[in-house]
Amino acid sequence: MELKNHFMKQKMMTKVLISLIPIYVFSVWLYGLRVLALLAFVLAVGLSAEYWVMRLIQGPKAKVSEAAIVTSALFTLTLPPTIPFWIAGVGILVALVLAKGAFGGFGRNIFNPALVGRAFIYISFPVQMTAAWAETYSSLPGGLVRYGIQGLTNATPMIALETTGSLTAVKDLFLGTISGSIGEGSALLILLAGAYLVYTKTASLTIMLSVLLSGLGFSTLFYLVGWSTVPVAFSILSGGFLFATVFMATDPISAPRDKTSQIIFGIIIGFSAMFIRTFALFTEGIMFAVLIGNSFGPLVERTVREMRATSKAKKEAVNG
Amino acid sequence: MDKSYTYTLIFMVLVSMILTSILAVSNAAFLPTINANAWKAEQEAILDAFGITVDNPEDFFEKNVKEKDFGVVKGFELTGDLEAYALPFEGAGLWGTIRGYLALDKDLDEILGITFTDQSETPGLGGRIEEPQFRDQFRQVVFKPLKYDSELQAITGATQTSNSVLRIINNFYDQVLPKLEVN
Amino acid sequence: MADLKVVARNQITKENQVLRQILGICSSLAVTNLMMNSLVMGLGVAFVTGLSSFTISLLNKLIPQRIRMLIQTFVIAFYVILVNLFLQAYMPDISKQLGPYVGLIITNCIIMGRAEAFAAQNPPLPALVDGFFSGIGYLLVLLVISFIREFLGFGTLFGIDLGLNFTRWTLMVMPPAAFFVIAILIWFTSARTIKAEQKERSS
Repeated sequence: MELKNHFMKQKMMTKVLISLIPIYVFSVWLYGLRVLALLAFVLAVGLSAEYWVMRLIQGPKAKVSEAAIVTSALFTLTLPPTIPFWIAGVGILVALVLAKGAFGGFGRNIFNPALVGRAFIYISFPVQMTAAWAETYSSLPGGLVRYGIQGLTNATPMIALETTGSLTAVKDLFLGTISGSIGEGSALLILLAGAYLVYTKTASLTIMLSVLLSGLGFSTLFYLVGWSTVPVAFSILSGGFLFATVFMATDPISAPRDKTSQIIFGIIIGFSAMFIRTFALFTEGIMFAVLIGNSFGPLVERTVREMRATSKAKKEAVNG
Repeated sequence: MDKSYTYTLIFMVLVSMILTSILAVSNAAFLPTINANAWKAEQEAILDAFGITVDNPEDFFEKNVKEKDFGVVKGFELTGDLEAYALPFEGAGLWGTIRGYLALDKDLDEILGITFTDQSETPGLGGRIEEPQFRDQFRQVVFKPLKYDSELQAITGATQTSNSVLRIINNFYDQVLPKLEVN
Repeated sequence: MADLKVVARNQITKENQVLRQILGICSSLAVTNLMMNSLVMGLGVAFVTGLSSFTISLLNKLIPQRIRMLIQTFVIAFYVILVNLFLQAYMPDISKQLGPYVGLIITNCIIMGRAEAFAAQNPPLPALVDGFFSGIGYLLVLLVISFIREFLGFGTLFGIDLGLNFTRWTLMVMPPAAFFVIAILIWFTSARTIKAEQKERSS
């Protein structure tokens, strides 16, 4: 079995992987080399599962798409650093087999596969996903030369806000020297990655801006009206909001394709994220918000298309 | 060729009458048992809140507990060796409304116990608020605004449901307790 | 007159209402969190389907065509209410857990489906067998689903703690898990049936 024949290279996906390298290096520094071991495990499980499912669909000519590597890499970044390996395995299986394979494979998924996997294990294993966070290493070389985590802590910025009402400094949130999931910490690195993706035309700037601006808008609105007591900068820079904006909402398959739909899509996500964060008890509203956006995506696209068609027909009727 | 309209009408009326009468009779026959079951469950919840276990709960309840109107709520009063009140409460949990009884001593400054009659929290996690392990923490606790600490512990992995329970109790303390009419 | 044994067996396997006809899904999702709930629900559905098919078949010649579905609904509702009353009176704990889903048996497409597709054209005894075993087929599927859900979600089977110490899968006790499990189940059984049919056709 020639390995190369069974791998479908996708240039865009490679660019995403490149943009993730700095984030991974940073997270290893924060949490130790276990991060890489986790990634290796998720890749092994995920790619085997992807191959097995594609064999069912495509027969002996099955190819594993590079997108599966991206999904695995992104999925790993959304996990807490203390997550047991087997739970990560379950998550990536759900992501690639149920959220992608069962729908027909690459190009056919309705929902962002990594987020479906994450949602599944978030609800199935709430203790492991929400109660055990790790302290970060600081100073060089930090976690780059260690395997395990520094120590357990209970306070990510969002949890600290919820239980004690204390706000983490904006500088810490921006640079990322805080506890949280493996990849969500450094706003700086995420924004740089986002800029890279936009520059190389890999991800849609429209979606990113739409999610970001509507997130800002609704967060400000809820704060001014008094429904939320969280300052706007904090709510944008924490809870994986930026990570989802740059990497999850922009998944080309599950997001709409034309600019108008993308704007509406972004507004739905920004609104849902802030709404869920303010009124529901889940601290991680953004994950569900993107999935909600995914659900509405096709409907929005179709409506926009039909409205364009009717207005075009009307114009032609007037002119012709 | 279908049956005539007259036939259809008579048939429908006959079938309706027969089936409905059988159901009415069955309902009447079953109703006492059904109501007895519901009442029994309620009694057991109230006695549990008081912290009383007896061989014959219904007998004991008959003799020592009676309904009492407190103005802002309707609850129960326990007389005899122990004098106490059981007051119904309800409030928002994570997934739905949580209802139950809060048992307070005669002077309304000590919680004797708490039971939950209705909740839709996550089974195995938030649902564990019904377990004696969690509820017994509230026995003989001074009734004042509570929070979780080394003495009173939330359920691991069910932070939100646990917080909802405290929120409901503290809300009761703030809003309902001052308005209770004991006489 | 249809062979009763074949009728019964078909309802459990080849023409299983849940896995092949994809009927009765709603309650399958709701009550499969515990095996005991599935057992009671399944027996309830078997009882209702069997007896209503039987009654409808008896009345076949008498029912006017134009109100056929009305009468069928009436008969089914009749038996559902009886089952509901019985459960509330004699199994109140389980009745509380099953909640509105006992009353919702009337909306279960399986029962109306059997009434229309079989009871309307067959004699009473085969109708009874067909109806009852369609419920049993439903019951068996529910038991498989609830076995997975109760075991992974609670670590118990029929309420008996197996004493195994593993991390419980919390999602399994919620309805969404039933969506996943039932979809995977249909995937496997359909794949096998399709392969078997293809083999039959080519041989």
